[in-house]
Amino acid sequence: MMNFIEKFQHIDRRIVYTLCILGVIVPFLVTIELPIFISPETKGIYDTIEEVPPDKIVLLVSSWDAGSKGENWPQTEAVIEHMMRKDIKFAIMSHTPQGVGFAEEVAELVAKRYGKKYGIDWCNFGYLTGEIDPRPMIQALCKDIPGVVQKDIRGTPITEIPMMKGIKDIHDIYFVLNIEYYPKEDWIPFVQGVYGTKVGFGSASIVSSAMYPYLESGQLCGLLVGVRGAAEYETLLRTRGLGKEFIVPQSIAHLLIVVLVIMANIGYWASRRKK
Amino acid sequence: MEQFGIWVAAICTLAIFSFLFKENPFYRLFEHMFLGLTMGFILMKTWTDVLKPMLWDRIVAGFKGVAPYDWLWIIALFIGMLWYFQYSKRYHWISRIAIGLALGAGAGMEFKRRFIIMMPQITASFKPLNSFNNIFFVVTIVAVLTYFFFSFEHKSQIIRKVAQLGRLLLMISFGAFFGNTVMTRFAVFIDRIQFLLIEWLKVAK
Repeated sequence: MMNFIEKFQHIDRRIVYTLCILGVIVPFLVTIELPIFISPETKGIYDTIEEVPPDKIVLLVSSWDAGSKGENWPQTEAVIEHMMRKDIKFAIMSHTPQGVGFAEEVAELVAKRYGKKYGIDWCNFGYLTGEIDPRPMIQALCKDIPGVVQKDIRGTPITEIPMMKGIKDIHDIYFVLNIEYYPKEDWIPFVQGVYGTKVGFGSASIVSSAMYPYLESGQLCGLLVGVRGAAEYETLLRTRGLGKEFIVPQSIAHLLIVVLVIMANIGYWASRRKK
Repeated sequence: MEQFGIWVAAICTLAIFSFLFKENPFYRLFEHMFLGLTMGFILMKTWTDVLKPMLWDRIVAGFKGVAPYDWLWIIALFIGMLWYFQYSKRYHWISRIAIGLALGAGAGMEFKRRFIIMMPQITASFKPLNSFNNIFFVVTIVAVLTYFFFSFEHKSQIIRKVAQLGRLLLMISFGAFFGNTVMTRFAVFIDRIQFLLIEWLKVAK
């Protein structure tokens, strides 16, 4: 018996992979519902978007790509759905070349549901550099949006886009939401710190721990943590999107990892006892 | 055409996943293809979305008289080009002008950034001890700071115990980091499984 328990320490990785694959596939084939509780950080983003005044816009900095699509797509879709539902105008921009296309795809997908039009309800500034050092771009953008952006991704001058009429600088933006694998912390000092404009992040779970101090100090008004953040946001919106779809296989996978960690430790304990 | 795209994406996904079984040429081929595509895409987008509209078009408009002072952007182009002297053994020193300017501007911005980002963090650390959360927060800060205090040897029993508590709390936070890592890795995997099952194989809704 002890010999069998000891083997828990050395489960073949292919068995672990197979179990993980099964744990992820099954929830897609069988409907499983799990309760979702709203965290204050997700509520912070939701409440901020609820408060956006009609004469201001939201700047959605969407710099994620295929590598973090699993977490950042559901977040972006949930937030865009909220803004389109509330008739809040928003502009998309990206620090990475790949980010522009993904965010635009999500916006067009949600726009079809709500009959929204490009240029009137949202626009896309495109790729504005800053993947390595966003500081100069952020500071310049805060002072002169049309001067920095000039044209949108479709080649239209920013000043000719209907929803951008009267939008000159950071004072015309109510909320900056940066969604990406590791959101750029530079938005905090150069936007929230200098102008007091609200800043929120949507990050991959892996980096969320580093973002919590900014919530604690009030520098961030909210934070969407991976798929969990997206699922909570969808719950607040009373809708079902990728967040709720992904959270069930993720929960099962987490449970599996916990069980495997416990089993490996029991195996370790058994081997030590034998010695 | 859409179906063709889905098939290509599915084959790419399976090729990358094949690494889980073992290293193989199929995986290597797609890995290199991905790197090449990414580089090409970034180069193209940097020209079309950044350098052309923000620099080249402005310089041209300046010289044509459309935007009177925009020809001054040529100074930025000139300074930027100085970086490339790094490839010359004889004129390597010229690149230092650009490096010096970038370092100076970067250091100035970083000073401003650090100051604005850290001050609210420090002030937010001073919490009234009127709730469990606040007490736990303050105890954690004190314990962790004690652990990282290397100016004197931890000879006192109290200091040693507080530092040990700090180390324990750090271990807990590393555990939280690891938990979040698992969460992100699975999210990426779930996204691909969803794509394969729903969009490619159409075996689930």
